[in-house]
Amino acid sequence: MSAQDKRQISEGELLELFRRRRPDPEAFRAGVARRIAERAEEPEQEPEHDPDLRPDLRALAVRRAAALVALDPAGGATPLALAKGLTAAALVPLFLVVLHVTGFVAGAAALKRSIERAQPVSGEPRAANVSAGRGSSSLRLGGLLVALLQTLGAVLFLLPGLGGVHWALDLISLLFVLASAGLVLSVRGLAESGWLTPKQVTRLVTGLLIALFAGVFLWIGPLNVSDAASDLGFGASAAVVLSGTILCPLLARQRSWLQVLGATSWVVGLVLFLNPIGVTFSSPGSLARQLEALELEVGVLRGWSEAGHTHAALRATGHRAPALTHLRAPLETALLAGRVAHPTVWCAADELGQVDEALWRRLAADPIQAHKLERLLEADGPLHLLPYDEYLFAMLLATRTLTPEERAHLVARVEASWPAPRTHAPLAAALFCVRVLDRLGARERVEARRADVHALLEAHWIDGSRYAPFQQIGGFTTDPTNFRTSFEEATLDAVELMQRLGVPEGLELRRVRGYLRASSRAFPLLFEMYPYLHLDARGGLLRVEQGIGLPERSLLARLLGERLLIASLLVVALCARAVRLTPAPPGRGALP
Amino acid sequence: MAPPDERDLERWIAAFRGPLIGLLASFGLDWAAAEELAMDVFAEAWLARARFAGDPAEVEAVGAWLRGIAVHLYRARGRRRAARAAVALPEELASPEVEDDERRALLVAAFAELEPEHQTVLRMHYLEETSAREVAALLATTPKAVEMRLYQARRALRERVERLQRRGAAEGRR
Repeated sequence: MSAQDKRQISEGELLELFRRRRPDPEAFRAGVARRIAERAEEPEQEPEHDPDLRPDLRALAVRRAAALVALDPAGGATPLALAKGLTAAALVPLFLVVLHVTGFVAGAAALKRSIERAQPVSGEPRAANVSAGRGSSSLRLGGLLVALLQTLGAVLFLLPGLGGVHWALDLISLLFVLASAGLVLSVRGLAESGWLTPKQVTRLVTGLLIALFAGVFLWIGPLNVSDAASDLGFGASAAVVLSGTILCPLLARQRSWLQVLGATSWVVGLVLFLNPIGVTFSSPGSLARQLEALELEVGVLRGWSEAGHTHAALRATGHRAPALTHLRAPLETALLAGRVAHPTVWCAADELGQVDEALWRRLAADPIQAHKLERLLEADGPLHLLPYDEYLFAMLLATRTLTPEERAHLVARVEASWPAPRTHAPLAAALFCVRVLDRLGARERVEARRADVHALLEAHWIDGSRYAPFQQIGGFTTDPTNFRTSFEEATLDAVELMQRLGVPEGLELRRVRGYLRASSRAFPLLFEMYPYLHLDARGGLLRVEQGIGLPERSLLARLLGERLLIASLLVVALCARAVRLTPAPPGRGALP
Repeated sequence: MAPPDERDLERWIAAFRGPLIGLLASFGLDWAAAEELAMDVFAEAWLARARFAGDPAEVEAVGAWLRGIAVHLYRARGRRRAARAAVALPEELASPEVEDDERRALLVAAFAELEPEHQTVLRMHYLEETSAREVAALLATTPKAVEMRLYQARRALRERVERLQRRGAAEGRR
């Protein structure tokens, strides 16, 4: 016996192992002959009457109908669009929604057909076999599409400033079509190769959903791709895709609890650390709790500023703002120690309601502050003040009773300070003027500036109509000539101005909401290191949604706005269908 | 090309009976059901012989033709069984029977642990000691690939037998 033979079970032993299963040749021939005779007596069936050979007419009809529906918005949309008042811009979302629905219907029918006609399971596919070109061409093509999905997902986000165009989300949603096609072809390939098992299909759909998540949702937030049209935001779509990675292993007919546990841990970890579902913590209750939790020293200027703006936003939208009396102590301590806090802190403290008349008087007793107050009343012409110097007017009004002349003098000086064309950060200067005029009771002067404010807002809004690399769209800029991107401070100033003086015609508030929603996103979700860094944006978001109020939309417009969510739901549903349709394997075959 | 005649059918049965039963047993049928279905396959092949476009003497063409019919009938059988699934008891296809021969029991236990594709090729080849060419024709692969798979399967079977023997000895000592 050779060394090679010693490593194997002998042929004789194997023949003996199967001997008792060996058929009797004569009995077998007789069985075949009997069947032939029986079948010959039956009336002959035409192949088209054989239910197994008959084409699936229903699936065929669905496919053809789906193909026609897919073309309808482009081909026959004009009368429909005119009737419903749809603009050309609305036709793209409509086309995409129809494309996703059509893809789902056709994909679901194709999955059913492929799985029904699957080759019997003959083993486990191996990555080496697939990559070496074995298995069916559908499997190779499906694998190629999934690879393309992963590559395109990465490439899209490497493009300079994809987030800078407002149709970025529509471009991304095409990846979902690619995912559906990849799924259908891969399942067909597994079915044709005799590799269609629940384990393989679950592995396939989980991998596909993870690729989709990594290619789309992992980057969509950090790169500020605008999801302005959606009321729920991209986070809802991300949540659907992530849920799919848990749901599909659960639905499988050959369930692996290890896989379910793995997927659940992965999803929970992702959500807690990266917040792909876009939680913003911007509800009034949450904002009040965040404010109450703040412990601020007088040196933390940003903290005071954000807290002040948020407190004001809560009040401006009719919500309960917390008392925050604990923030008064640091101010008093600083004053007693002979230190005067930065004007930002006094502005914020005023907004937080922590400075009463007595405290203003103590501050006004400081020689420098007293000099500043005197200059307000005695000097003429523009004020030459920065926005955070607004506290001077609060202090002045709390410590002195102004005569009508003094008041008129101040109003004139504020009006003279109105930002000139081409100055830097004019929105902040305009807001300063509006707020001070309101304090001085010159509301009619504010109303007179309504057109000026609207012109400023329109000129500084980044609407995405002009492309600039890496721009963030939806918010406002400080300088539209030099900086074609949104800035948080400018946007918050603009939002407050719009709440006071209305939204200019043509300015889409939903895009502003989209920008602020992205800026408000908690990161990470589990623990926010410096929660006050997002407070400003969250307050701004509250003002937009509840202070100004988003314009009403038709049901169709709302539906189209959620096209990414629809695409996500349909892809996950297709994955779930593939998993559910795949039958449990029949066992490992007969033993010798 | 002339349609197959009765001598061709005789040759087909002689050449493909064993590997076809082995293949159907690998789809999850028990041996008796696999044998019955194999008879159906040959009967169907004979009755539909007018549609066979290849050379009746060419093993590869006949193998592909028989495999197509086998898969078709197996799926049709599966659909009929699925329709009756609510009342039928599941078959315990892979449950080992009580073996009186210790060596045989060891081989069966080791066989149950093999990869499905190794099990398939062993069933198809050793049920009636069919040549690799017929097995390859039914599996739509090459005889060389079948021989390689048989070698791997026999080696894997030996390894599993030895592992089971070692495990048995260790349990005996305890």
